[in-house]
Amino acid sequence: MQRRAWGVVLAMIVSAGIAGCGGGDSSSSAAEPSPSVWARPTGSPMTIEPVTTVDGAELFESDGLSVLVPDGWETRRSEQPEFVQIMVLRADDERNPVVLTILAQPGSADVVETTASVASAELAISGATDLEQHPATWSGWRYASGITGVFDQGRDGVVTDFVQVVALSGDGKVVGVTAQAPRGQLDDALSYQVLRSVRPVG
Amino acid sequence: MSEQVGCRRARRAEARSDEGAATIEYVGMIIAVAVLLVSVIGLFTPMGNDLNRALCGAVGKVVGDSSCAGAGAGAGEDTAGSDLPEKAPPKGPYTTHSDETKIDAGLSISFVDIGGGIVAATEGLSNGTYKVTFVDKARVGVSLSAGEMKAKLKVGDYGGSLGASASFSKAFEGAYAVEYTLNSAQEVADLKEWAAREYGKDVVKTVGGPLNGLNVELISWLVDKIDGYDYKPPEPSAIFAEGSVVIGGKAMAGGILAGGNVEVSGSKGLGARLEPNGNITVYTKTTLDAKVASDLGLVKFTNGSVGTEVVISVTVDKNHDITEVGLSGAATAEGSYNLFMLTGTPSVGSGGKGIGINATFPVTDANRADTIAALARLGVANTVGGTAVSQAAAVPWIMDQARTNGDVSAQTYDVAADNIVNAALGLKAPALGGVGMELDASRTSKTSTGAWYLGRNNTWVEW
Repeated sequence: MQRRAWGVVLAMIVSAGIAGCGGGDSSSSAAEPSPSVWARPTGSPMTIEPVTTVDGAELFESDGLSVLVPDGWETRRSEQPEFVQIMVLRADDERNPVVLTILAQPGSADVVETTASVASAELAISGATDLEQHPATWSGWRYASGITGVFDQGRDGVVTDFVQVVALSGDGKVVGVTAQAPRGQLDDALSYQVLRSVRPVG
Repeated sequence: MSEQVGCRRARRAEARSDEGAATIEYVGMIIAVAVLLVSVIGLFTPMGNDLNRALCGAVGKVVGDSSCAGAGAGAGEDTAGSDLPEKAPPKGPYTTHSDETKIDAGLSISFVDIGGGIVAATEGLSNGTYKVTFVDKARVGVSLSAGEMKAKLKVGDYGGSLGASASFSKAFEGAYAVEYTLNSAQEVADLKEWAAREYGKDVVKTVGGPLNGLNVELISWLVDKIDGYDYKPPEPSAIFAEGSVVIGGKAMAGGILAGGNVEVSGSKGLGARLEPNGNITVYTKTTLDAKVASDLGLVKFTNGSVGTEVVISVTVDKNHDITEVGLSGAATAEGSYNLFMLTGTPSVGSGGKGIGINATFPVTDANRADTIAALARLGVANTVGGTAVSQAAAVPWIMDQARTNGDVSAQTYDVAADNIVNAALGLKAPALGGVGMELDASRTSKTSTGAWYLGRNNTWVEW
């Protein structure tokens, strides 16, 4: 009993000594993702296979991310206090861009899941159907969560399949990437390849 | 025989002596390590009195100083009526009283905004229960990581203690408020004391850095052992996602819904409430523009507000189905006429007090499509932008749904605040104070002086 207690004291003294050498950095270190149990996705696991080349595409870098921009596509960047958005789109198809949303505040796996949950609620409120949240794996990212669904754009009867991935980079950046394509065509769509090419830089 | 008895007595006496010695040694250890900790922390900060106050939060109970703990619970008052009304009262209780107590102990160290800190909002409800919501205005927990501490060290049953103590910081990751539902004033007091102790520890840990955080946890664990403090907080009944997360989620969804052209701002996305059962309620502030206000006969809605503002809440369940929609508005006594005009309800004599009106209705397959259309008209859904004409049609539609399928209630408030809209809506969901609606903790004492619900004949029935 007493031996264990003194062991505790020894551990405290040792760790205090380590702290004394460690400086006063109060910032959060890179903790392992530990998603909140309330926001865990229930859909089937999703794997996003990274794409490193697309014929004729050029690498575009901005805000700590890189993305392949296919020939004939362009990028548009906008900024708000809470986030930066980069749209990668074909000039003649403004309705279906690949959209990168980068949150201003650094986050964690919990923030990723909470953000994904809010995004899925927003999609439901706006009438998206067949919504599912998936635990996702995306090489190059520390943590990821996916959302899939169907959305009726209400214009000329256009109905799209969409995928949205919210991911955490190694330096704590929370990024959402979306892509959509006419029903049944998403897997082979160029927009999905663009989504898969998004990577953190550095 | 007598020799054996004599030996047992001797062993018991020796054991008692050991126990006493062990206790003294424990106290000695605490003092020694506390001194060590103070000296180590002293290397980093010129804190002086700040440190004393911080440690007070962690060990206040041991030294008999209760000044660090939050104030006691507000008293609830059951005012539910006993007459049989035309229609059953709304299923949920209403707030009879609330108070807010800052528990940042006046600390002014680097990561805490001056005037910020954690606010404990306590609501006494009409059914005798209480709701305590800790609102972290400075998002203290984000700067700490429970995970990093968990991975470092485990001594004795220290891990069990860590699980509970770490939850305060943990719960704030990605959230700015945590809500607990409690059954008695004593439970409220116990929870507040725990929060004060945890916050005190968090402060010291952050000042000294992550590794010193371990020391604080260990000291606190030992102190708790001696003190016999073994309180474990209940599971939260909800958390509120912080505004930037909500806005980010809205923006990401906008990438699908509006081709990235969605307009999202902090003044619109107030927050989101997440429950353990997977329900998410998203709160959005909607401003009815001047033309709509004019069309609806509204002249002046609130003091200090240019437009006419209401908060729309939409609850989505774990299957991503919309299950409930709510509309909340509030006005000063002066603006109450306009609020009643907006909601199409008869007026309540507010006696010169501020008034809030809440309307909710369930969403089913029968009204889901129309609900989404109405939300779009109000700019809550992203599918189409709201227009003046459609806005004017949407509010009466929502009120009609609430009147026929849901509940409409009204409360008058004594609110010591200039902006009664923020204060009264804050009563409905205190954690909405994060973005767009500043919850000022210095404005305390919000007491409901009357509560009604709308009966079948469109007349108010005392609740």
